[in-house]
Amino acid sequence: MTDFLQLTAAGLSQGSVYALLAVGLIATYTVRHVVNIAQGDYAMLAGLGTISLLSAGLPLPIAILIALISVTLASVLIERVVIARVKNLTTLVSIILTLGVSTLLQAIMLLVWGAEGRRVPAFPGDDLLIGGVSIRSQELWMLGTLVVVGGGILLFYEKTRWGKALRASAEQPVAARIVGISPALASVIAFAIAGLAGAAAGVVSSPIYLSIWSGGLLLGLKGFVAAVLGGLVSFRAAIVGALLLGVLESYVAGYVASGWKDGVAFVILIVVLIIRPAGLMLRPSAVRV
Amino acid sequence: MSLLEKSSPAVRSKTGFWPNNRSTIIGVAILVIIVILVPFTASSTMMNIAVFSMIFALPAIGLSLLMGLAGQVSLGQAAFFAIGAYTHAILLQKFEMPGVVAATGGVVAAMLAALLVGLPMLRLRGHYLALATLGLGFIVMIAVREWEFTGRTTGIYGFGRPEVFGIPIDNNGLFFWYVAPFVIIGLVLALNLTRSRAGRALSAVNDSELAAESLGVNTYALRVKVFTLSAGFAGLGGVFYAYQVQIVSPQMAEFHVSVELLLMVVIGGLGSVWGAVAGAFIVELLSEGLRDVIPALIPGATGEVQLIGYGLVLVLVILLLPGGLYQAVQTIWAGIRRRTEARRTTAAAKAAAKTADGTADAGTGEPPTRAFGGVPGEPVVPQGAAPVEDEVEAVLNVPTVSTPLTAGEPILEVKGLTKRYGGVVAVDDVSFSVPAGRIMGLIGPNGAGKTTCFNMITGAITPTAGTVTFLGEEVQGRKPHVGAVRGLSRTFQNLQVFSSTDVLGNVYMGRYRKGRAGIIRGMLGLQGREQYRNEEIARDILDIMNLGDVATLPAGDLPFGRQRMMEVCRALASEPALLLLDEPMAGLSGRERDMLANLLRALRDAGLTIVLVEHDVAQVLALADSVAVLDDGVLIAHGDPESVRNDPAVIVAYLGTDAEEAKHELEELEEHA
Amino acid sequence: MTLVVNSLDAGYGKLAILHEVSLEVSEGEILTVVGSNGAGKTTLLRALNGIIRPTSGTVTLDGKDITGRSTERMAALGLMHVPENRLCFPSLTVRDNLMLGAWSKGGKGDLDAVLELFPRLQPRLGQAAGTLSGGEQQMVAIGRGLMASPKAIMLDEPSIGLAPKVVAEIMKVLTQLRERGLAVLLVEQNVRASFGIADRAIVMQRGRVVLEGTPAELVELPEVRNAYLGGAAA
Repeated sequence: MTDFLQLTAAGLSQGSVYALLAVGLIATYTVRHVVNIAQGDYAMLAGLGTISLLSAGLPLPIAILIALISVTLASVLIERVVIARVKNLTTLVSIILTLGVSTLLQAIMLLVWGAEGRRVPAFPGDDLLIGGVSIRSQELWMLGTLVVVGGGILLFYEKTRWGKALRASAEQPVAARIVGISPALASVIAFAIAGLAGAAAGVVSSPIYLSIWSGGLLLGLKGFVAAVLGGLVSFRAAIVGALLLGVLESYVAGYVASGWKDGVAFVILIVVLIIRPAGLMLRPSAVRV
Repeated sequence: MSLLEKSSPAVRSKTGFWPNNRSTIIGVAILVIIVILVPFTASSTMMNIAVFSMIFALPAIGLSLLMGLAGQVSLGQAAFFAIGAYTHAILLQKFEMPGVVAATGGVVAAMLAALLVGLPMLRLRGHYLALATLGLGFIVMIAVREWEFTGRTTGIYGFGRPEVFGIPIDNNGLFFWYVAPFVIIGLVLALNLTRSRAGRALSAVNDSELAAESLGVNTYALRVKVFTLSAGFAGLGGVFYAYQVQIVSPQMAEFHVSVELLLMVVIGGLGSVWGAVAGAFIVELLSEGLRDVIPALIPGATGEVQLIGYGLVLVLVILLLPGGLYQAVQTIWAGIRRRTEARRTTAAAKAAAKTADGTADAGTGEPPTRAFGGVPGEPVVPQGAAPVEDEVEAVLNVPTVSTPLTAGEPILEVKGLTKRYGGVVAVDDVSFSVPAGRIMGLIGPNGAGKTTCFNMITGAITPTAGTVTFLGEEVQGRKPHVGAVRGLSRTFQNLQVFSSTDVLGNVYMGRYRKGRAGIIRGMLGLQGREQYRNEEIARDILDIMNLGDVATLPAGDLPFGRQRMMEVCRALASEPALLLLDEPMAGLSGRERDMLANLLRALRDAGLTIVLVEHDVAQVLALADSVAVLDDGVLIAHGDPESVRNDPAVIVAYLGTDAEEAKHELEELEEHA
Repeated sequence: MTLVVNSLDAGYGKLAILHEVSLEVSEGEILTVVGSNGAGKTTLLRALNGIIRPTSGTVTLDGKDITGRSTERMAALGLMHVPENRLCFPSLTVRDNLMLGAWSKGGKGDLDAVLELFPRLQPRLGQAAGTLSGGEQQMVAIGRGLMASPKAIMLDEPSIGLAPKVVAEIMKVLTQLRERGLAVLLVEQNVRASFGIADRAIVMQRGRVVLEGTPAELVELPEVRNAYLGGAAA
């Protein structure tokens, strides 16, 4: 039983990382219909960047802040230089393009930071021991980051003028343009959100799960699976799905073999799409007649 | 006249296994010569590159078919490559099977894996197949790494080299000759496929999925087949790879291998089979070069450093040259031809100028009629449009139609048809039946649910409730191709033209349901007779319908009215039992409308059943044998035109006022006329 | 003249749809554009609103040339388009829909003035727009457009799929807009409804303006009666 709770706790913290990536993917998918294959690379880039900034002597909070801002800007830059340049952005083209960006980012990380995986030192705090289940402080940081960053993005979409404009742009692009919402600006904001969410996930998970040039792809794929659980449009359902995915992976690693853990996401993807192609959203998306 | 039953003239089957068009023959011949010569001339480094580009050309051809024909992309082509290689190696080494059996096993295993992934994923459009294949890549890598049987991280080795007639294939030159025939045959098969019935159907799907499906194309099944085929090519590549490097290891399934394969196709030109082969060579060369150049530029760079080049090239090609090498060659070639042609025409013009000083006939179009209180004139035929044939009667030459029922029997029955969107009821419990050999009109004010109703009959929309019975079989909720193969043909309110082909190609697609040749016959080129006969029929239909002069023009270049007529031709080419027309009169000129109306009457008299949804009520009342009226999703009247015309409910629906005033208005109009 | 269109040509790619379309709408005037399906009415509004770029001709608003300006700039310039099929933002509340209408004014619009025109929306402010009836959605779409305080408003088939009573309600609101001094360009297939309120009308056919006049004058022409009223009246 203790084992079970222990694995659940670890799974939830890991799932919170997937959740942030899913939030980023949904942000860009809803506005631009691009599944950004480079989403996971943002996480790795932010982790590696933080490590370099720390070794340059900056204190942890400052290093994190700079890394987050840089990756957010990088995501915006990618939108402007690559995505926005294509007139007819079909699914096929968007996949190839973001795949190219992802490969490029990976190669840059490989050249700058080398092939070895590295860790950001653990954030300050004491591990918790509740009823025989020990929870690492870093895992609490991870969950906390999901609450703050993920929750913040959700609030942004639901409460602010700009967030509503982004939703309007996603639901009815033509009507949004008619009232004066610039699609280019909406796209930039969506990519900024995706960059921020990915970077936050990467920095906070680095102490436990490493930052490595090649790690982003698999991470991004898991974020995608979580996003599919939310039908690629629902943030809340995707977050729940991501936490579930994390927990399931944790059970497989604990009870089967750790090597098979990474296969879970793929099996879930296939099974879910066979059973419910629209994702696990409880409410169907808004009615359009 | 009986066009479709006419005794087939001795159409020489021009297709066959080997290509018959000149540029393809030249291309293949050049490739064969290169293949023969390379081992004599290339340096050992070049020979190495050449061998690997041959091996990788196979999965690249597969991927280019998937991208070009199915419009889908696999990010896990390396997974199928690895599955082929592993299966081959295991069968050779652990079961000591003969080479041919082991190789076949490798290809089959890759195809089975593709079937497993493709069956669920290809039901969905969009990003799912791409991401699922990406996941498959990881799964395959994990599986072979974790499994004792597959040798974990070390992999499998020690399974020997192939032998041909007792000669061991043990150097690069021999191995190159050993692989090359497979690549050339694979290339020819792939080229045949793109020109075949199935290949043309898939291109049509990429232009308009709705139109292709409503002509009987089972998009899903074809996509699954192409995806499986594409994996087969990858598996074969894997088999040769295993032979060449003499070891299979988990790295084969790595993501960067899939990126490399994708890059080959992108560089070569999306969907171009030739491009894939050229791309394979370029990427192998690039990879070799990058492995040398990058460490020189960036000291200390180790590992997969060529990735930086891959990423850059991938993005740059898509941004700057989206059609890849194929597009570049096409552009250059077109430029050369234009120049030579221009030279020829100037020479001809000079010659002509000597003989006569021709006065240019400045055919200025009639100015638009725009006069207050004037008569709306016959609109000017837009420039570039061939004038509509003078004789309306010319149209009365109609293609024959298949009439499975005697006139008057119900061919289509709609019962309790309902469609709800959330709380809104678009179509509410509509029932009617359509007798064979008659024209039925479906009318109603804008937003009354006509198009929704129509789309439920054709299968484009699944009804919330109710049944649609066509020729005794329930077809509601089935995909459009289900009704189509049984003889239900339609046209579209918003034109759905296959713009990547010409007018003839569009009408040829109408013959899809009459053809039989599948992917395998297509690849082997064993469908010539069928294809040429269908092309001939398509051409005859165009001639009858006065579109013969534009048969070879790109379909998208026709003026609106003729595109509409082309859609009618396309629907007729399938020899339908029931023709459904969605607002066929919209956007046609008065004369074109008369022509179409006459054609529809003639078709009806020949036995065809026609249902037409139309906004132009006057036309429908004049044309139809029976009329159904929808208002606000409800069937408010159904009967012969005369009774519908005088039905107070109909008048209220159209005028939106009370019946008394409507009646008055109507009488006034009739007096006027 | 508030909105002046001079010899406009436009289309999709190679397909030319509009040919030399000219029209004028003044302040406090309703101009209706009628014509059968495929006559180019919707294309005209799209070209005016920058969704497609005119190939030649000019569009001016209060003397200012706005030809080919991007759609998202049009609201700020004073030209508002109420598109076909309403295109409300379904998951957003009615209030949010209306407030987004004032986006070009920094989110500051006169919500009360719009609710005065559409009192039926008052109790629905907190409801998601996707759950409204067709008529109410049309009101939201028009109200959203008015939130930008435009000089000219263009409506594409506002009566489509609505019950006659609701159509009458919408048409009444348009006359109120005229009283407030807006230039109203109304594209309609429901000729009865639009001729009832319009000051002037133009008839389009195959992408050209073929007739122009007051509804009273046009309705007397046998061609118009047969082609539009007659056809529609059966």
